[in-house]
Amino acid sequence: MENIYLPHPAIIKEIIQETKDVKTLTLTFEDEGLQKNFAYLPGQFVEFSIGGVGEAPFCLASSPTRPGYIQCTTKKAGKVTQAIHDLEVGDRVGIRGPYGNSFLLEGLKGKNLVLVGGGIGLAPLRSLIQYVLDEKDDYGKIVIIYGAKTTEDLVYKKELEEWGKSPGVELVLTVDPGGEDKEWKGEIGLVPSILEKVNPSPDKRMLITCGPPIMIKFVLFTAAKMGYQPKQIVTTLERKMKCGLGKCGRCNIGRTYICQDGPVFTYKQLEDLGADYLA
Amino acid sequence: MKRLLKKDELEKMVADLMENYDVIAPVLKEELIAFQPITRTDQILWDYPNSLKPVKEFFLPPREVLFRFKQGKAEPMSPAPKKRLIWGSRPCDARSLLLLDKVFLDETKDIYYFEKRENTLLIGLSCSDPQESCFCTSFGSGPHSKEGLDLLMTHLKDGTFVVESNSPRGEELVKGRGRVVNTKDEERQEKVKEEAEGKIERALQPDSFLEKLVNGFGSPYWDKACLQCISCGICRYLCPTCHCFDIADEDSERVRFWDACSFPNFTKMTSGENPRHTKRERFKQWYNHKFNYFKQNHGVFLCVGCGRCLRSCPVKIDFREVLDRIPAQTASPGGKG
Ligand SMILES: Cc1cc2nc3c(=O)[nH]c(=O)nc-3n(C[C@H](O)[C@H](O)[C@H](O)COP(=O)(O)OP(=O)(O)OC[C@H]3O[C@@H](n4cnc5c(N)ncnc54)[C@H](O)[C@@H]3O)c2cc1C
Ligand code: SF4
Ligand code: SF4
Ligand code: FES
Repeated sequence: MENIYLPHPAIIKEIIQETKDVKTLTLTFEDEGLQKNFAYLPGQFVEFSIGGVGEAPFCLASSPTRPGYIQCTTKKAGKVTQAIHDLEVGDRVGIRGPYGNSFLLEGLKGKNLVLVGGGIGLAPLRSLIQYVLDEKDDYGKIVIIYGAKTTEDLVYKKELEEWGKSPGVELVLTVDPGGEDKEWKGEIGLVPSILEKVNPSPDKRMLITCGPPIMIKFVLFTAAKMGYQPKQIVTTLERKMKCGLGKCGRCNIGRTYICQDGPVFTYKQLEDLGADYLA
Repeated sequence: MKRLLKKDELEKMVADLMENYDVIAPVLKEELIAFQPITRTDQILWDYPNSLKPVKEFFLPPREVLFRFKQGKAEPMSPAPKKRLIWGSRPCDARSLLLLDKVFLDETKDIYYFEKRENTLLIGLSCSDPQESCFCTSFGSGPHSKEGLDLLMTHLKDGTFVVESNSPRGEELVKGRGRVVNTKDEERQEKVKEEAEGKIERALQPDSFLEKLVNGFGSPYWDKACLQCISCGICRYLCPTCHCFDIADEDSERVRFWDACSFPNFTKMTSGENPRHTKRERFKQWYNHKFNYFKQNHGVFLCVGCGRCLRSCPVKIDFREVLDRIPAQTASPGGKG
């Protein structure tokens, strides 16, 4: 019988310093068979483990359309994430997963998309963006709206440029007022207000958002105001998680275990979950 | 198959089984009734109100090492214990394991729990003296229920026991011992059973709890109901069906610990945000998990009516009253959260 808590050894292949406190790690499983068979979808997450320090959940920031490795983008926040930031290329860590549902890809097929990200919340959206760019024929036009506190806090800077140049993609970057520098050519303002300004029509479109809870909250309201139906709006939720398997009992909202039935939900589903879904 | 064994025949049976099994039985330990491994049959208690702690800990230990790390690689601890036999478990506790099975033996099986379950025989002892705080009959169990047991022993109060097998493994243990019961024995057994059931005075209506919890989710009632609770977690730890746990590393070991939904850290995230940030939410979670969410997700209530939570609560919260008093009211929008 498989040991569901067993972290599988993986080696750090590359570390990208995204911002002062955010790094993207590229990993491959030591077991080649596992690396080949590790099937996942955008929106899913893994438990990332450093032996003797602990485990923490991170979404997969890479896309299954680009096989051979997986990536996580982690922000230094506490014990495990500090230890992750101390890692070097060649170090061994542990990964178990993937867990959770995904970005409801069937529901996105054939639609125009607007992806709204804030800060490190771009990580799961990056997985989706890569996926959609690689399967371009299945999807319509794409608008990406991404914001961070300051220009220094934007992640995936090089990739953002590439996305902006891709056909059929409109990229809008923004920083909070005061977060701009001299060279800044993007927007200045909070993500929800920039969404309103760009005003992508809800016609045949799905809106997918991820970021800090407060941003998500206002994006949901703004999108509803713009005429998006609750079932056209998709987001991911964050909860404290330990097992990722519906057993440890802490990530539930009502009868729904976010680690298994989530973390991705439509606004419609969130409304059904009840009042306190955004922490 | 039912057989009749005298107490000394049962003791002989335990002694024989000790050769092949680690035998865990109720003993008196520092004036408390506790299940623990025994070395002599004269340690066994034959007549006792239920143990303070349930037998849950033999399947989901309070602290359990899952892995040891060597060069960054996790080496699983061998989860398989020696073959074990729990002697004298009460029917309510046996039923609690069937409920825990729904969590740990679902499609993602927990190997640590699984191996302990597989390696452990459960020999039950019918309750002849249910306490005032017991209400197993309201939760699909009963003082003489065989559910989840390999064998059930019922004391006929004269030093003889009806021993009824409820699994092939149980049958194997008792085969050839004592004698087969006659109709008179069975009549006496029935009488003991009726007497015991008759002592359980309060019948609860769990379905009404479900309804009240769903409808009263947003009720201001909870603001007051939670005040008395000191969030000590005792009710959670002593409950045979509470299964929430934490996983953390200690030096080079990954350890699983019992955790409890009454503690703020249970849900508090590194960002400082806490989805259940008040005592009210944490208090409510326990009731809803047991009498609402679990029922909706698994079709049964997450309670066996053992009464431990109300017997051991330091501030004397009786959950039956907490549930009874939820005011009936119409569901508020979003009332399911
Ligand atoms: C589904 C999901 C996806 C996530 N994706 C990312 C991501 O892509 N990038 C990123 O930087 N962060 C992500 N997070 C948040 C990240 O898990 C926490 O920042 C991290 O667990 C903090 O761990 P720590 O040991 O450094 O913090 P500490 O405060 O020292 O320890 C808290 C411990 O609690 C546990 N824990 C589990 N879930 C959480 C949580 N949500 N918040 C806080 N503690 C938690 C972990 O075991 C963690 O080690 C995600 C969280 C979830 C639930
Ligand atoms: S909730 Fe109370 S009565 Fe029910 S099983 Fe748990 S401890 Fe026993
Ligand atoms: S035992 Fe009583 S005081 Fe302690 S957490 Fe349970 S209800 Fe609250
Ligand atoms: S993380 Fe353990 S139940 Fe969801």
